[in-house]
Amino acid sequence: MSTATTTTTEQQKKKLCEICKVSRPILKRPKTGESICKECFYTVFEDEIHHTIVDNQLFKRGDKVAIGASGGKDSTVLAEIMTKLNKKYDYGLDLFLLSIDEGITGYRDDSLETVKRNQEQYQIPLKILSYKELYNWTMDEIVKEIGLKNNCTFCGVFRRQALDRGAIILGANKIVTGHNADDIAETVLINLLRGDIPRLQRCVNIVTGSEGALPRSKPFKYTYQKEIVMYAYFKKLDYFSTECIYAPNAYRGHVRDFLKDLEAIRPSIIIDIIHSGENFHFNEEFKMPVQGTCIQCGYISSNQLCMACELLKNLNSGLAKVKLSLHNKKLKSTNPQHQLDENNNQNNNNLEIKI
Amino acid sequence: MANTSELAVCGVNDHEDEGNEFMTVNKVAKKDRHKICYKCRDINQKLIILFRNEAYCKTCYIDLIRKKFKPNLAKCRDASRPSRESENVVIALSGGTSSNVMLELIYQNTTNAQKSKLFFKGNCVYIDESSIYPNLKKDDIEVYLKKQCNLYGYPLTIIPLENIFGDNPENREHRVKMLKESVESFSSQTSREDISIFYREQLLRKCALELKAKRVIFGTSSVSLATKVFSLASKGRGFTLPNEVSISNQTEVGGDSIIFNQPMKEFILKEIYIYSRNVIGDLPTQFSSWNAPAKQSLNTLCEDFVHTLQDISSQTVYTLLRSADKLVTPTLDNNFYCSLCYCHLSTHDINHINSIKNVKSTNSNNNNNNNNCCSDNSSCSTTSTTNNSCCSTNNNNNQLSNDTLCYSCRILVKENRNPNLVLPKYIYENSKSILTTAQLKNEIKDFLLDDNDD
Repeated sequence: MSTATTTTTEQQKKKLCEICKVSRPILKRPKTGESICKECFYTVFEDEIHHTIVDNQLFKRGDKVAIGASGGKDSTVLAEIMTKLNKKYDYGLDLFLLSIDEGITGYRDDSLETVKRNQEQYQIPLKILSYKELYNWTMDEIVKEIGLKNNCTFCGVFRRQALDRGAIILGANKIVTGHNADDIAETVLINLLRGDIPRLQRCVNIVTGSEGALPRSKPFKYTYQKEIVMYAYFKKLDYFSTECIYAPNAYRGHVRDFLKDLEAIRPSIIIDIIHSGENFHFNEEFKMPVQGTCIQCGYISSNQLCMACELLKNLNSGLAKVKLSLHNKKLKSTNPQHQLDENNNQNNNNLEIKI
Repeated sequence: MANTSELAVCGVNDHEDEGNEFMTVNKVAKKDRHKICYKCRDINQKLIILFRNEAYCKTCYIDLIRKKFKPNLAKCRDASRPSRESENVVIALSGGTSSNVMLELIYQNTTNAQKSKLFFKGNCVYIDESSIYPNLKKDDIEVYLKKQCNLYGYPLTIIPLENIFGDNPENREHRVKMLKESVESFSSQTSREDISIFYREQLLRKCALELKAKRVIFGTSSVSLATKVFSLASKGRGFTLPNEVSISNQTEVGGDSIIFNQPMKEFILKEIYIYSRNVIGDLPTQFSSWNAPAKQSLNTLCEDFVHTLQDISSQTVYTLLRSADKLVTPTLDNNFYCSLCYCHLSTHDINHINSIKNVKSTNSNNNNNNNNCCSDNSSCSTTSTTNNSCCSTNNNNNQLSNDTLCYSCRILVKENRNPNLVLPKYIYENSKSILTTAQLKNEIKDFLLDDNDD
């Protein structure tokens, strides 16, 4: 009995962090499978993001960067990391927190409290911009008008534009969002499934929207979601973890479950999918939509009216529900895939406009 | 009610496409326009299928499928050849429904065609994988394939998978052992499946060269190709994905060009099954050769996922293939291909190989074969004197440089848990050849003229 106990203790002693070879490992990195200690995890996690920022030249000294903050784990860790790296490596950035209040009672009001606490903690200016000020509609009112179906379309389109508008108000010239590697891999698969080639081209870019007013970048492009959670957990960060009440299944779609199953078989799968996405070459014969500006608000758009103005016009005229059902019928008659697209659209909207 | 017996024959398959649902008695009663064949309008013909919402009788359906196949088969011909000159091709058979239907369709559009005949000289090849997949009913499949090939008048060649390590009949058991070791060296089921696919493709490539054929025709259906789109994207093979799922995929290795054709790309499983039941009849019972639980293999998981989505929306497969059609694989340099899977290397990989100054210092998987091949079997020393040796006795030749592998194959090789990994000789030769070419090119690069140079 005593021999067995001694052997176990010896084995425990022998088991050391694979990086520093000194401390006892307390976690297994989802990305590499290495058993490492907490301090080494912080170091590799932060270093990887620093390298992503430097290698991709995401910022220049003096940039005013708005951090899209929703109060969720990704944006909270992003705020923490950006503040830390800006100090540690002297990026010379002016950081701001930018939150969008969609007007969802019981969800966004609570998460905004978390953002306010983060602002005090990191001492970064915070700007909260609401749908009500921008569009004169809250999401609660929109859902009342159109119902639960398709409400993510409105929220997604409005939020994307609201972020840009908020950043301009703050005087920022760049936006960073908390999109992580899992989100991007999922978007690649969704866009393949939808046959959405323009989005398939864009979704793996670490910087998007350069053609518009404000480029938005994703420093977490190669960071696994599980590692972000681990970082938040070990650092005891204050974040809000409830999912949106109007889209409870947005993160639990088919593709996300499939991706989790894939990851269980091969942990590198997330990076492999991103690698695939980066190496896709597109047939030049395929016509891409030409980017222009909206005649009403001047926002980037491939049509005369941007999507936000179009949706707002329908809402104000009381025809939003009718127009949506007509639009859906038309899509279904031309492409039965639309039923699946509707499910995917929820995911995609959340990915595209995540803050 | 007259067509009840026919309907019973077309029972629901595992992975049916909801968009082209089978005709049921109730539906016939409800819809008058489905009472007669959409094409021949003959009220005496038994209806067997609702195809794109129109009812077809057996004769018209068969005619429709044969006509649908013909343009795809025509794409598998060398356009520069005179139209009446027969082209030598290898028809890869797996014993499954899809490849059997393809064989019948090729026969109907070539030998048996009354008019507008296509000229092909078919050679059927079956790769016997029973040495690593014991659940395959090898004997049943072989008997059936021999019968079918005799019927259509095509010669059949059966090649055991262990022939990837040579084809000396005296050391078969040793080769089987090596094959098993080689496949089982990989820790994950996905890698084991992938390596066996590469071996199978290499044997088909080699067989095509021996038969002086430039093409290998596969019976891969649209569902299998859509699954491939997903699995290739998941494995990081985005660069070569468009080639691998296209109707025609050309690889050029050492001056030998072999084209892999997939003329069944536009056929969904339902069309294939109905055609098979009405024209070919019963096939030997098939078991998935992989036989792995979905949670263990990426390939199986992707297959299940595509089938699930296809059940939700009938356009899933079509959309996935349409997405892949909008992608291209640029041909950068035919001298640079993956030593293992023969796919084109990406610009990044080629630049990396070109930057290697000393071939010997490359990152390699040394394979000291003293302990694996030659120690336990004297037959190997016999074979090593011939061109068909299973492994080289010269250890310097047995180095696989990771630099000559594509992104996905590097991951595959990483999953090897055997320090004395046994790989077929051609892989080492490919690796060596690529590095040598790169080094030679490096030496003379200052004297090479570019098209853009004045």
